[in-house]
Amino acid sequence: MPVSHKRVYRDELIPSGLVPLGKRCSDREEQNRIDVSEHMARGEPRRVFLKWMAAIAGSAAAIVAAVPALGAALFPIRNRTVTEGEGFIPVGDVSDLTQGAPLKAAVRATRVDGWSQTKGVELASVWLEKKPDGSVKAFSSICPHLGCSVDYLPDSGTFNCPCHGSVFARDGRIVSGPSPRALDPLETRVEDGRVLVKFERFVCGTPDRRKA
Amino acid sequence: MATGAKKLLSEVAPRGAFAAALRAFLDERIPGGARFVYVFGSALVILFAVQAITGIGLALYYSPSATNAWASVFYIQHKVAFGQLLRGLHHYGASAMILVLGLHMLQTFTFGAYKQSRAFVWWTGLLLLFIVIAFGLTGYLLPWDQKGYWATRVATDIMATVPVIGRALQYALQGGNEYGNLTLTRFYAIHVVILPLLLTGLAVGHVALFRRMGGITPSWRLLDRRPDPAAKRWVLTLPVAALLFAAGISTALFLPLGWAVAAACAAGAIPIATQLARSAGLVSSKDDPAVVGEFWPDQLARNAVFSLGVVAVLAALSAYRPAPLDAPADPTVNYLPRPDWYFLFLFQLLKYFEGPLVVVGTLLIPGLITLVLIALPLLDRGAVRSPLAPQRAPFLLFMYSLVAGIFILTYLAIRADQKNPEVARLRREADRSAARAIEVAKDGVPPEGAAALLASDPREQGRRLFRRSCDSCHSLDGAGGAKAPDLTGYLSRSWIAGLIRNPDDPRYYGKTKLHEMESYAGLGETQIAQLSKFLSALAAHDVAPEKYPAELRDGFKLYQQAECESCHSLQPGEEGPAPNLAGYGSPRWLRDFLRDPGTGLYYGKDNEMPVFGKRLTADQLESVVAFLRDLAPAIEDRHANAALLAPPRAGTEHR
Repeated sequence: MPVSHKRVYRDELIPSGLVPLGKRCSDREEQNRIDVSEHMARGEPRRVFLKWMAAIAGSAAAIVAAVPALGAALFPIRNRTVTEGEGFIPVGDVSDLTQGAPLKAAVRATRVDGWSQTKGVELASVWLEKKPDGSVKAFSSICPHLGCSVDYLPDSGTFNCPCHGSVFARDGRIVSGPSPRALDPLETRVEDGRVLVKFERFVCGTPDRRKA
Repeated sequence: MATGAKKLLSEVAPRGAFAAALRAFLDERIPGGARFVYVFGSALVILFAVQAITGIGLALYYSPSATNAWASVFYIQHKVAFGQLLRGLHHYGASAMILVLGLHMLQTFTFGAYKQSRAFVWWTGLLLLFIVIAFGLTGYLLPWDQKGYWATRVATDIMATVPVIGRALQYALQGGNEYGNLTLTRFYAIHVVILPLLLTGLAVGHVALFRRMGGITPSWRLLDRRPDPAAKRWVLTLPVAALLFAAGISTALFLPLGWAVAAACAAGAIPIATQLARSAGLVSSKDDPAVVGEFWPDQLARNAVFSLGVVAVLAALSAYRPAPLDAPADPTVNYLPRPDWYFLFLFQLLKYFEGPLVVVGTLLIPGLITLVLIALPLLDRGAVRSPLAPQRAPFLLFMYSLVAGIFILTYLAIRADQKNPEVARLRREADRSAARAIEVAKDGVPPEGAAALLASDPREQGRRLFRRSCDSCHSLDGAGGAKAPDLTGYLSRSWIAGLIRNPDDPRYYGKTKLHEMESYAGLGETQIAQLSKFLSALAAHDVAPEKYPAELRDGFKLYQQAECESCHSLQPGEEGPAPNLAGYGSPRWLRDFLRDPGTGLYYGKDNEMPVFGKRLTADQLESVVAFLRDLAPAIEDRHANAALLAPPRAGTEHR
């Protein structure tokens, strides 16, 4: 077959090269197939080893890529991605308040939303009322029922929710309506005539008060 | 229950379809047996999978808008759990894809595996190459940092040089007449939707075609094993030399990626070189042409091991050399654009063509090379695959000259930058801005965006004001005027020591009208060091000498002994023949001094410095003060500009 005086490349002699299994069957193909089965019969422990090697190395590579992707994907479950108005926030002057007449005040604070930071964002509003001892009482205006905004009606002296008709007394107690708990009180402090409120959000619709 | 479930499963399962699909994937015959040298194609699939997975992770946080992009990438890198690794894998994975793709292509070519009926495999492969390059180009812009912004602008400006349709092409790609929000949304859509779809479809076609044709048996396995005196050995030496050359250069020069590139080149060069040596009959081959290996598990195990190695290198790089994030893109800030390393050869090519010939470098040469690559299977005809066959020599010569050309141009580009101190200076400034941006972004970025954050930062503003208002007279870091003292390391101990040694040095007051002070080199180095330490400490103790803390007493005593006090008073507000040094370098001193350097407290009548109290607003003045106070720590950290600060050598002692 090979010609002695000229260099011969075998691929010139076998133009079919390698044909996918079962496509065309020359004698050469038949020969190869026998080799495969013999090879398999001979190398069984080797095959097992190779299978394990493929599985372990492949899984390890997959884990290296999957761990950071999953870690990043699940990051928001355990971390706060939005923070707003932590600590005591000034909401107004004591001199603006009068006893017996709750006043609504906006809570403005810095909101950090992911990477962006916005100053002076209106987060929510609070109802403030001056007490005889000079301290200030504050309720979150968010209705504990389903999160609507409660209004103060001076005529009845109650906080009324326009959504589902919950009615609260001036001290926050439930008077009537579907709300499962009283209005949410907020911690306050008075410094140099300024009213500071520690603003918090609570889970709506539960009888007990849980931080959101 | 179990039998019930089995029954249910057997009812819904398409009979044998899963097994058939699996078989179709795993059944491939490897002529001559499995080899590590065949891993590159599979490694590319794995690398693409890594890019896809990490890309999804990044997309959970990334925000494609001019105001948010940088900040969101910053957030990923510095706040999100595993963010650094996530972004690192994606960043270095892109480079790895280019590298492995290059090796895969070179190998396919060298083994002649693209000939005849495999031409379509080659052509789909070429398309995939361009898609991967497009991935790199679009991805580079997405962080919207200085580096990505400026480099990508150059690329789209080049696009505009295409005759007739250039402008339309540029506007279509950048989403309008200028870079902005629409550029980012467009690049993002291309990067995460269009290109992945194209790549997946083409890759499936590429692999299916390859499977259909079957792998080739590299010619050395079919070769008559007797050494052939007629074989053109130079063809063998050429690729090996090119790859080793490449490895050497990259080790020395690709600074951030140096060892990874070199290792990858070596890893690619060794098997190719040994196989070529085998084919030349230089090394005896134990291959039995009759042996046929199987893809599963023989080849797949090797592919998995190689891929794990590559991914491990990427993870290590991400951990020890986090993916870079430059300062936020700002069109108003001077920046030296450089493309990613795999485009450096094209960048270098542009330097050789000017004026109307620019189009030769930007379009003609790359276009012609692309055409030849496409035409290769049509030109390199016949069944002979051996790289040693004389009829293939011209094509090998072309391909390896191309490879060598790419490496040489890359080398020249890096070399030119390394030899240019201006490049190094601009790089240092950019690094400082980047570090500062990351520092100020920690608490959140304002709604106007990250660039605004940096521009309103006092220290960064101070740097910019310095470049605008001060550096026509004062130089800093090797750039700027020479009429007034060089402020590199201003207020640091070494800077003060240099001043004490020779105030008349041109780098200090030599070029000004202030020549009253003589050299105090005669004090000796120990005393100069103590004196400089004392003077640099005054910045933190802006009080009258009576109130100095204990650690300043010795320095103060020395100050008096050296008779500094006879000219430079240390009593706050006391005028004298030379500048008052009470609280020297403190914010109060700098502010006062800059406001009017010509009062009796400072330079007096010989003052040539402008009255900055009139030129700058109070805020701007504070920014410059903050900036100047930062120069000392900068140099003490860096030990740069050693020549300026080193004590004079013996023999050049001051007269």
